[in-house]
Amino acid sequence: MTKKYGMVIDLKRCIGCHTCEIACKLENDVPMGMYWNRILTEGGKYMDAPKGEYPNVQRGYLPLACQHCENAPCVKVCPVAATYKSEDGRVLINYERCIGCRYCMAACPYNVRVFNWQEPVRIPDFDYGSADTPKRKRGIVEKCSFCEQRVNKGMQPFCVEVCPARARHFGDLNDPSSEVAQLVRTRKGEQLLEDRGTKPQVYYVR
Amino acid sequence: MQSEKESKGFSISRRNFLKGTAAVGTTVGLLGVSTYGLKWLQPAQAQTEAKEEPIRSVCSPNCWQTCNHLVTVRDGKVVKSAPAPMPERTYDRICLRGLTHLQRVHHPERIKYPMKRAGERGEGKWEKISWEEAFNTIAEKFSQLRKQYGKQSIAIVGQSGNYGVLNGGYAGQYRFSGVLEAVHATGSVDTSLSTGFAAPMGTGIFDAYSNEPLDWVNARTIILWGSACAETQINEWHFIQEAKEKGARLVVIDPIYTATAQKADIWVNLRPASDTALALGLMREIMAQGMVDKDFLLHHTCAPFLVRSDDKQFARAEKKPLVWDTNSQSAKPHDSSGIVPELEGTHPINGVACTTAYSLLWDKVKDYTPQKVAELTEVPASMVVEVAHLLAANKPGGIKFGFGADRYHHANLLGQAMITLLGLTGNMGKSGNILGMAFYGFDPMIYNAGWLFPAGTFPAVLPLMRLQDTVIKQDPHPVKALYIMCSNLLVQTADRNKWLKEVWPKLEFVVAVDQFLNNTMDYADIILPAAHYYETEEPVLAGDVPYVLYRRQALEPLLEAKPDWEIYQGITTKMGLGQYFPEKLQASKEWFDMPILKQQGITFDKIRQEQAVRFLPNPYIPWKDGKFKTESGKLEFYLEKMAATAEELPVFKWPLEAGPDSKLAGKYPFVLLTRHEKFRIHSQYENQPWLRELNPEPVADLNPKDARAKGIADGEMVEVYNDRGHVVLKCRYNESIRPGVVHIQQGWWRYVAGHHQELTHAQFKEGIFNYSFFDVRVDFRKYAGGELH
Ligand code: SF4
Ligand code: SF4
Ligand code: SF4
Repeated sequence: MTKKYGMVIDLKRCIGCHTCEIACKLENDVPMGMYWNRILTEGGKYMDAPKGEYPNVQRGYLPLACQHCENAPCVKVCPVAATYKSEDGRVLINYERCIGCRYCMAACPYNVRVFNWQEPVRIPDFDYGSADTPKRKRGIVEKCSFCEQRVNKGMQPFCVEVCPARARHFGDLNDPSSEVAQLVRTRKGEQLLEDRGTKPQVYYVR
Repeated sequence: MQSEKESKGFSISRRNFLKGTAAVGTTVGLLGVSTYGLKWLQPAQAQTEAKEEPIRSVCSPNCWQTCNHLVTVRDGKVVKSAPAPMPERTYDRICLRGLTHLQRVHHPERIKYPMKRAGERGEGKWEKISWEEAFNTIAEKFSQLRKQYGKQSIAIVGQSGNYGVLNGGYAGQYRFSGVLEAVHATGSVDTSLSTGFAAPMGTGIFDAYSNEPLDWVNARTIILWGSACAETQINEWHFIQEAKEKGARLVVIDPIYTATAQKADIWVNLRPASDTALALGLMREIMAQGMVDKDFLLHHTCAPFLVRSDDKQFARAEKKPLVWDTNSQSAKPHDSSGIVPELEGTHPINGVACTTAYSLLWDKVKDYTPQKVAELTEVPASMVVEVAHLLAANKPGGIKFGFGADRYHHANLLGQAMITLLGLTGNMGKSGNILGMAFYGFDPMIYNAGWLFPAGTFPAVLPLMRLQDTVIKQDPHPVKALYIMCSNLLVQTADRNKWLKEVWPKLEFVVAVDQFLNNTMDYADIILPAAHYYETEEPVLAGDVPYVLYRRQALEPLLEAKPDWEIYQGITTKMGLGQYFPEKLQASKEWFDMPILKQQGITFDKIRQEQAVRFLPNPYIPWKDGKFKTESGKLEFYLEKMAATAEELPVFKWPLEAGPDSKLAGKYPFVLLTRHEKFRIHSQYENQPWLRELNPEPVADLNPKDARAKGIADGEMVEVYNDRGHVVLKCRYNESIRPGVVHIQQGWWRYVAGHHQELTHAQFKEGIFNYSFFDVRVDFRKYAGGELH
C-alpha cells in the first residue's frame, strides 16, 4: 500500500512552548514575519491568556500548520499545479512553478499558507537550516512541507525531533502498526474543521 | 460571524486561525502586486548536497538544562542547532531559545571590539580600542588600585550566565578572583529555599541530592512548588508528563495560572508569600491523621532525638544524640543496637526535660488546621487535606521546587518545611522520588579546590547582595573597581536606583564583559566582547543531567570577541600572573583530574571524544541506604544551629512586604511578581529577533478587575511604582493573574521609563543573603506621559 504521511499532535502534552514554531523557521529558512507553524492559544484574547475568571480559568494550546489534507482545496484551485499531492500523501509546493496568485491561500480553511510580499528578510541575513531546504523567493506562497528535505531522507520532521514535551508524532497513517495510526485509533484522533470535508492528515489527540 | 462553525470540540474557529500568533506580519510591508517583477519565476538554483559535519556544543545559561547541541556551520556561519544524542536518549533536548543561537552568534548588535567610554556613564558614547590597550588599561588600573587600596578594592562580579568551566561564572571566574585575591561577589539568588532544604540532609545547597529526572516517571504524586517547569526547566517537563500518563497525580502550587498550572490535577492558587503556612498545614494533616512513615522517621531522621528544654540542643552522650528506648525505658545513643526509639514524648535526663524532635514539630504545626491554613493562604481547606493525603498515601512522590517561592524573606523556612514533609512521608531514597531539584554540576566537582585556586591564594567571597553596601560604605575595605562577567547585573539584581545613584559614583573603574550592549554595559568604563558558547571549547558543569559535559568549538569567535579565559590570560599576563592561566586544553584536562572520574576510568580523552559521559549510577537514586550527610547520618530537620533565632523547626512568618500584615499594604496594595517565562533565560535571549516576534515588548499583566477598578483599559500605558522607583509599560488584561498581583516578566533590559528592578529591594535575612525579588509591594496608575514619579 502506498504511504500516507501524517502527524499526530498530543494536546495533553503540548505546553505551548513555541519550540516547534522556531524549529520550523530554522530548519526551513523561513524569513522574519512569517510562520509555517504557529501555536495558537485556546483561551483569552492574547497569547497565553486563559478564558474564564481567575481562578476558574482554562487554557489550551493548538499548534497549527498545513494539515496536508487528503482532499486538499488548495491543490484543486492552483492554476499551474504548483501545489500538488505527492504520492506519499503530502501536500507540497513546487516553488518554481508557483506564480503567486494566492488562490490557494483563499481556499485553505486553516490559514497556514504564507506569501512572500517582499524580498524575504532574514536575521541573520543568510540562508539557514538544512542545506537542501528548497529556496523561495519574493512573490510566491510557502507553507509546511512536512520537512520534505528531511522526510525524503527518512528522517523525522524537525519539529517532531525537538518538541520538549514529545507531543508531536509523524509517520505513515496507512501502516496500522505505525505510532501515528495507533494514536489516531486508540486516542480517537480529531481533525480540525472536519465539516469542511478536507480530510486533514494532521490529527489532534487530547 | 455565525457562519463560522466551530470544529467539533475545539474552541478555535476559522476566525482564530486567521488571527495568527502575536505580532505576525509586523515586519512585512504590504508591497503591492504591481511592484513584483518576474525575477522570482526563474528556476531555483541547484541545491547543494554538501556533507556537513555538525560540531557538538553545549548551551549553558542558568535554566540548568545544559542541552547538548549539534551545531551546523556552513561557510563560516552557524546555520542550525539541533539536539545532540545523549547517552540516554530521553535526555536529548533543546528549546525555543536554544534554537535561536544563530541569531545570537550573528546578531547585528553584537559588540564588535573592545571599547572605552567616551561620554558620561550611561550616555552610550564609546570609542574603539585594541585588546592590547584594553589589557594594558585594566592591568594598570588594577595594579594601581591594589597598591593604593589593597587587593580587595577590586570586585569580580559574576552570576549564572554560563556553566562553562573556563569561561563561565563558577570555575574560571573563581580562579581569576583567587589569583588576584580580589573580592568575588556572586550568589544571592535562589539560595534561601535551597539553604533550608539542604541543611537537614547535610549537603551543599545545589548538591546532587535528587533522583535524576529519568526516574521521575515512577512517581505517583508530584508537587511542583513555585515552579513553572514547563517553561523554565522545559526539558524536565516530559518526565513529569510521562509520570502523569502512568497515573501520577500532579499538584502545582503557584498564585499564577501558568502553563504548568494548566497541566495540574490540582492547582493550588495560594496567596503570594503564604507557602510556608501551607506547608505547615500539610504537615499537620499528615501527622494528625497518623499518615507519617513511622519506620523512616525512627530510623532515618532526627524525629526521635531528644531535645533539651534548656538550650534547645540535642541531648547527647559521647557526642551522640540520645533517643528514648522504649525497651529499657532509658535514654540511649540513637544508633545503639536493639533499641526501639520512641517517637513522641518528654523525659527528664539529668534533671533537664527533653522532648523528641517529632513532638516539638507537632507543637509548631498543630495550630495549622486546614481551616486556619485556608484563611492564611486562601486555598480551600479541602484542598489542603487532599494534597496532604496524596503526598503521604499515594507514594512514591516528591516535591520539585522552582524558585518562585524562594523570592521572599524567610524562604529558608519553606525549604526546611518541604524537606521535613518529605521526611515525614518517607519518600526519600526510593525510585519515583523528587527531592527539590536535580543538579549534578557542583557535587562533587566544584570542590576541585586545587584547580580553582592554583596560586594558593583565595578571593574574598561576598554574597552579591552585600556588594551594594560594601561599596557605598567602603567598609570593611575600599572597593573601587568592578569586573562584571556572566551577569547583567543591573537587570538581574534588586534596587537598581541604589546601584546607579549610590554605588556607581563610588566606583573608579567598571569593566563589563558581554556579547551585547545590555543596560549594565551602558554604565561601564571599559566593555569587552565575549565569545558565544559555540565559539569556545571547555568542560561544562552539568545541570540536571548526570553527565560530565564537554563543549567543542564550532567556530572561531566572530569579530574581535574573545573567550573569558583568554581575557583573563591577557589581563593577568600584564600583571605578571599569567602562569595561572594555561592553554585551554591543558586547563580543561586538569579540571577533569578528580577522583570520582579516575575511579571509573573516565579519562580526558574519553570525555573530549564523547562529550557527555555518565558519572553517576543509572538510575541515580541517592539516599537508598537512608544515610544522610549530617553528623548523625540522619535527616536532621531539627536544625540545632537555628535554635538561637527560634527557627530550629519550620515556622511560618509573613515576609517583609508581600504579606497582608505589611505596613505598606495600605499604600501599596499590590504584590509585584516578576517571574521567568519561556522567552528568556534570565536576561539572556532578550534581543533575539525570533523570540521578540512572539513576545515583542514588556507588559504589566493585571487581573482585569484590578485594572478596571482604576479605570485602566486593556493596552493602556501604566506606571507601576513604589517608594524605590517605577517602571512604565503597557498593561495587559490577563485572567492568569491573581487579583492583587502585578506581574512583569523578568529579564527585560529596557522600558519606556524606569525599570522593574527599581521596584525591588535588597534587604536580606541575616545569614541567608538572598534577593527577595517577589517580596515587593507596588501600586499602579494610568500613565499619561509627562511628569514621572
Ligand atoms: S514544541 Fe511541542 S510542546 Fe512546544 S508548542 Fe510545539 S507541540 Fe507544543
Ligand atoms: S513538519 Fe517541518 S515544515 Fe512542517 S511544521 Fe514541522 S518543522 Fe515546519
Ligand atoms: S536555553 Fe536552556 S533549555 Fe534552552 S537549549 Fe539552552 S540549555 Fe537547553
